[in-house]
This record gives sequence, C-alpha cells and structure tokens, in this order.
Amino acid sequence: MRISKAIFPIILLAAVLRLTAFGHNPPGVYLDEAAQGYNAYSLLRTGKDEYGKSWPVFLRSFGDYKMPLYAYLTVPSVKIFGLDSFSTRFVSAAFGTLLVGLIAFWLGPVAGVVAAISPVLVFMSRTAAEANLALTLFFLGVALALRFFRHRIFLPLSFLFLALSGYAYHSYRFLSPVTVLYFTLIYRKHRPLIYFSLIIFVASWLPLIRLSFTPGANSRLTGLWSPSGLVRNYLNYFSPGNLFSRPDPDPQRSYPELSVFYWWMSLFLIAGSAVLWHNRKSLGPGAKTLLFILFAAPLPAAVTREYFATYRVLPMFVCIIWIMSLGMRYLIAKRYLLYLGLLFAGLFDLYSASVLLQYDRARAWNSEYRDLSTFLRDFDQETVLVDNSRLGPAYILFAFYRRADPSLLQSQSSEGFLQNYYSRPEPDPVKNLANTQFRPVDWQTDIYRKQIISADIMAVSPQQAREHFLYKLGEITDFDGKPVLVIYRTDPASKCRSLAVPAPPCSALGDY
Amino acid sequence: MFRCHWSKPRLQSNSVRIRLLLLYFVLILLPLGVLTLRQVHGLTDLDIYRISVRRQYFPVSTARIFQNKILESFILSREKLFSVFYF
Repeated sequence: MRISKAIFPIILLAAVLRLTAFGHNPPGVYLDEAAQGYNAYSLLRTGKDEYGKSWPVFLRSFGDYKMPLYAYLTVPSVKIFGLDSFSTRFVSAAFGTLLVGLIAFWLGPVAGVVAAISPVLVFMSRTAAEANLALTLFFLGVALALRFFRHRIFLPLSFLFLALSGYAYHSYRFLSPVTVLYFTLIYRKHRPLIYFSLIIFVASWLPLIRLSFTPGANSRLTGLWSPSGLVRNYLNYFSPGNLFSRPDPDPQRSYPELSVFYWWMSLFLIAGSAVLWHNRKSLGPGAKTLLFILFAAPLPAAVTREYFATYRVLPMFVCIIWIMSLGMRYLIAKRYLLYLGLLFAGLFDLYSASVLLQYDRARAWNSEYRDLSTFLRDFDQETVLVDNSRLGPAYILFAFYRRADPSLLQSQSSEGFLQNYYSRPEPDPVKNLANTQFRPVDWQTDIYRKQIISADIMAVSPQQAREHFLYKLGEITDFDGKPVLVIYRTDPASKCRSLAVPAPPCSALGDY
Repeated sequence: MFRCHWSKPRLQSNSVRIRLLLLYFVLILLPLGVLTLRQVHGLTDLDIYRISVRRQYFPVSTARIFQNKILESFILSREKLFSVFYF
C-alpha cells in the first residue's frame, strides 16, 4: 500500500524530466529517428513504408532493417500531433515513463527514483529510441512472469510481451528467447501452462522466424559482428569507468560529460553488491532473475565491434539500478534525506548536461539539415544536388522535415525490388526527392550542369568553388556561428569559357 | 516471490557500513579531492577557453555555477581517477 502511494510522485518526476523541452532537446533529429518518424508517416498515409512495402516485418530504412514496432506505435502519435520530433519521440517518452512506474512498483520506490533520474534512462526516453520501447516491453514480460502465481493468465501474457520486445529492437531477438527458456526451466512443473505460453511466444514470432535467414534480417549483425573481442567487450559493460564516468562514445547516445549513472552512485553499487553477497543464500526468484538478466544482457552487445554501446544493453542497467537501490536503503536510513539528496545531486548534473547537449551536440543531431531543408525551399523550381558523402541517408532528413509525399520515394522502388525487399541490405547510392538529388558530387559532370549544389565545408573547399565557378548562395552555421554547410549555384558557361580545351560536357551547352 | 527488495536489507552491522564508507572515502573521495585541487592549477588555456564558451549557453545568473574552473577540474579528475578502474 505504501509503495502504491509513492508511485505517483515518482511517475510525475519521471514525466517532468522526460517531457521538459521535449522535442527540442536533443536539437534536430538523428537519421534513425527521422526514419522511424517518416516511415510511421508513410504507413499512416499509404499503409506502406518509404519503399512501398505494406506493413513490413523489418523496415528496410537505409539498408539496416530496423525492427518495425516503434514505427507502428508511432503512427497514432503522428496522426494526432503531425510529423515532427515531438510525435516521433513520444512513444519512447511514454514507455520510458511507464518503465519507471513499473520499477517503482516492482523493485521499490528507491529504485523508482533512481530510474527516474538516471541519465541513461532519461536520455533514451527523450529520443526516439526503439531500444527504450523494447526495454519496457521486456521488463513488463519479466515482471508478469514473476507474478504469475497471482493470476495464471500472467504467464502467457508475459511471453507475449517478451515476444513483442523482439519486434522492437534487435538485441531482444537474442535476449527474449533466452529469458523465455529461463522461465520455462524454472516453471517446468506447471506443464500445461508453460506449453500454452510457449505456443503464444512461438506463434507471435512466426513472421520473424520465417524471415530470420534473409540477408536483411541479419544485416545489422553481419555489419557489426566481431566475436574476437568477446571477453573484453563483455567486461567493458561492467567497467566502473564506463558506468560512472565516461559517456557512451556515440554522441547520439549520451549526454555530454554524463555517463550511464552519476559518479557518486558508485558508492551505492558497492554497498548494494555487499548486501547481495551477504544475502546470497536467501535470494528469491525475482532477485535471481534480475541477476540472470544482468549477466545475459551484455552478450549480444559483446559480439559486436563497438566498444561500449549503452543502447544494446539497457536491461542490465535496470538490474544495476536495483542493486544500487539496495545499497541506498542500507546506507541511508532516513528515506526523505535519501530522496532529497538524490534529487539535488541528480538534477544539478542533469540540468547542466541538458544545456550542453543542446549546443555541444547540435551537429551530432543534424540540426543543420533542418535549416538547409528550410533554405532550399526557395529553390523548388531548380535542380538541387545535396552532397551526401559524409551523411549517406541525408534524404530521410529532408523527407522528414518537408513531410514529403510518400509516393515520391515509393515510386522509385520497382516491382522486382519489392519482391526481394528483405534481401537488399546494401544502401542506395542515389536518392531523389522531387527536385532534389542526394549523392556525392561528381566533379567531372556536375559543374557543367546548371543546378544548386549543397555540400559540407569538407566536400567543397573555397579554392574548388573559385576554380569551378561556384557562386555561394548562402551557408548554414552551427550554434557558434561556424559554417557547416554551404550552398552554391553552378555556372557551366563561365566554367567552359575558362577552359583552354573545352571539356566534353561543354559541347552540350552549345554556344556558351 | 515478485518483489525483489527485502523490507530491510539484511546487512545491519554498523561496522560493515562504516567500513564501506571509509573504503569509499579512501579509494574515491580523497583522491578525487586531491586530484581536483591539483587540476585547478593545471588547466590549459584551451580548458579555460571552453569554460568561457560554454558559459554563454547558460542563463547569465547561473552560468558561473555550472561552468567554472573547479567543476571543469573535477570532471577531468573524475575521468582520470575512474580510468584506473577500467577493465
């Protein structure tokens, strides 16, 4: 009873931290977010994804074959709020807040408060992170399985949630069946019920199983597969340096200067581990299950070549939150002091990191492409080339910001392409969106065509611009006022006149 | 069965609690304090420039609280100290 009273303020705290300046911070949208949002928009408008595939089991996106559940659940929010960063991130925030409530109810209010303020969970809930959706579905499944003695329907329901988490994020295609196997073993005496639950799980996974051996289904794994560093990678996820000090190396997955947890939480992890060790002979099934998840969750991430990818191991952080909450309750007897201390210390760091995120990481979140998309609206009647040498799938940002008609992208897919939809993991080198083409600049031909060229400052140097008669129309700057993208207009006639021996494309220009 | 927390964690010995806090003080807090004090005097021009740039991101009234030499030194020292505990 006491716990249920505490849940509401904790959920409120979680919601405030996740929804303040929601949609604006992080600034811009990342490619994956834009892909989730735009595919939800495309599904809403046409019932098909950006390639014209009806309700696919994997979203091809830009060849990485995302799990589709996040985009499907985003369809209602895009319908209500329209396509923007708010509606795209809404599902993640809603499920992230729900997860805090679940943790408070299941693991106690102290764990709930820690989950509400933990940088990693706050950050994931503020972005369109399909891993966050999968995490909540996964722990709903685990909590229901542990509670099935109260209601027998909880076990099949649990297996259904575990199956759904597999449709939300790739890591759970490993973790869910392993967890189902774990529960099957510990509940093996309840045979009819466990058989029924297994049938539910397998039936829910049939579409996934049917496509499991296609190149698309495994494109993420084959792209990242690197088992040679398995042991070192696995241990990285338990390293105090990674957990409490150094942020995730991927700038789209962490706050600046904040790690998974606040540095001072290391004290409580040590104390919690001591409590666990002391009680090791009297651990209940709930505690054993959490320890099982703690050690199983990093396995799918450890076989990839990435050093420390928080995104792939979120379930282990929930287990660490539980251990830290044990340490907090052991070390600090006065509960109100604990809550006040957690709030003050946590919010100080979180506020600072949120402000820095908005400015320091603006480029990591492609905020410059939002401005470029707006700038190029004035050139709708001309041919535009956007150089994508450094940001291959830049087209999806334009489609997202302009709310492009899905048929513009869908019309580029042939019938044969759709028949082999799950077998094409290679990214598309060229994309067209109305008058705009996305591909690297070809210096042999593009300067001899009358068009607008947009490129980052690395792709076209001022010397090249002078040499090829590219006239600057404008530039997009970052928050510090430094140019990051430059927009030029070509002048093929002047370029051809400047040549002693005319280049072959000049003949097409006639009397220049 | 369901809940994974004991009504009171069963490790009530006060001496364990004191030993834990003492260990944390000696292993983390004390070195962190000493390193921070040393780092304050060892900040490079680039570090100080970064502080001044980042101050512009915060409201004027609070900029000094969130961006100052001590906090910058603390963050650098924290990374240095925790790097000892990398696996």
